Amino acid sequence: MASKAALLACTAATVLAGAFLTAATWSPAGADDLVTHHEFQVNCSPSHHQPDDPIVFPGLPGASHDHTFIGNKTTNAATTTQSLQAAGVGNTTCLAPDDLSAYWFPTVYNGNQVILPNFAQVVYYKSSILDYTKVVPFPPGLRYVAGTVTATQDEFQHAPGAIEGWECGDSFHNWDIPVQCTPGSQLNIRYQAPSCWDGVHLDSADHKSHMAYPDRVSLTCPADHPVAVPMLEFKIAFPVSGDMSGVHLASGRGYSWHYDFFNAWDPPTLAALVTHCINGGLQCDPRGFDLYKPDRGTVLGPNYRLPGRP
Amino acid sequence: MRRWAPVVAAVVVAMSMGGCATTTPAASAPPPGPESGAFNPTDVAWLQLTVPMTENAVSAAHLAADHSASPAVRSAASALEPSQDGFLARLRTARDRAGLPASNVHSGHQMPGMITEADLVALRTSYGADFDQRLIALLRAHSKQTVVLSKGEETSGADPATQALARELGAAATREGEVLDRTS
Repeated sequence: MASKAALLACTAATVLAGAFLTAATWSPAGADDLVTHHEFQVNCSPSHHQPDDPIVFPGLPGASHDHTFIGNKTTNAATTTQSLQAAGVGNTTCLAPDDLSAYWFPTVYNGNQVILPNFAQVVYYKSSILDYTKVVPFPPGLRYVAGTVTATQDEFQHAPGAIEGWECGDSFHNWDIPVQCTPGSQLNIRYQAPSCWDGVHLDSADHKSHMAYPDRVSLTCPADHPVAVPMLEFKIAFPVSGDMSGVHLASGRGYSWHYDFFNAWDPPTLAALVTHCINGGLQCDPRGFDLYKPDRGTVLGPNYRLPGRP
Repeated sequence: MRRWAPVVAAVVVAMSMGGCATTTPAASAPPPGPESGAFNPTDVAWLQLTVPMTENAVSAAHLAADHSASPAVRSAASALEPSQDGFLARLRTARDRAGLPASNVHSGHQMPGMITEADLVALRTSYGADFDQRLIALLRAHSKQTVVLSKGEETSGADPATQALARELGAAATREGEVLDRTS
């Protein structure tokens, strides 16, 4: 009896498994195709830190407060689109050797001690507009500053790029750096960049006005900034906890948080990731692969490059 | 191999749609900031930074006559003030020539070597040794940073008159830094 029941159960399980397999194989449409995300990740480790800012103080080494640079390893005050592109494939701390873009943010200090992130940080490339099929790649050389170094705490909290402010452990929605963080936790910040481009200028006098945030209600780009490019969301973690009273940014208080982006992607690689992951409505890892929709394939090979590139 | 098919297709589509080609009009990058003759972004950044830095250094040095108890500090400040004030006039002329607004784009911004509004408030409310200590530390940092910035403008600027001004300002700041280092 017992063995017969076990056999029946086993048969039923096999049939069920077969049915699932069949469904997965034969019927890829349905719930599986529900679009919940339209993004891919870029993962980049810290490269170096120095008081340079090639967007705000081009050609003036030492002019800026200290910045922590991720991505292109050559970024300094003299950086230009050409110098980033000429750095050479793989001259980046990002997983994708063809991402020669520069990313940077104010260095975090605990007293006088520099606190650098201790693992590869996440920069999301997302759609911030409703029609994610309309997002196009960044033009080569586009650069901008996200966030406002001179913001008040109130301005930081209500900025269109704000998400949950500073976080550590189970403490969220802090609009300045918390005074205490659970020992062993990390100090985290996520902040969204403007993603509507005027379609003309790669930079502007204030390094911001050629970019805009989408309309919050309609989730469309405004008429004077009609081109939707990927919305960058930096998610940065700093290994500092416990007594946070001495923790500050090189630019001042926590609400002076801002970051810079200078595009120098290999254009075909960026275009492939944007098309497949953002326009295609996927939640991609840095290879352009959606774990939950494996049937959709992947953009980059195991070497994080387009197929056929060594 | 099969798994690459949709990817290759995506790349081909993206390229044929001109994902990047659509943006070629912007490939000829306009210089950031107001476009004016031979001024390049380094000239613009240097003027926009050096004007408010020098303004605040002049304001700080000006306080020494009434706030300092030290003849050495008063002497250093009274030498520095007119020198910096002279440069300030020339810096403002260059800024106007570059077509830049007079507003301080770095107001409220913590910059290396910049004497801030908060620093000036602290100076205005302090006297004697306390004032002297604050003033000398601030002016030393200002002079050192002026040397650094002027070197950058000399190397990477484009407007010859602005580069020459940077060379002179840097040399003056080097001398002033030496005097301040001898002043305690």
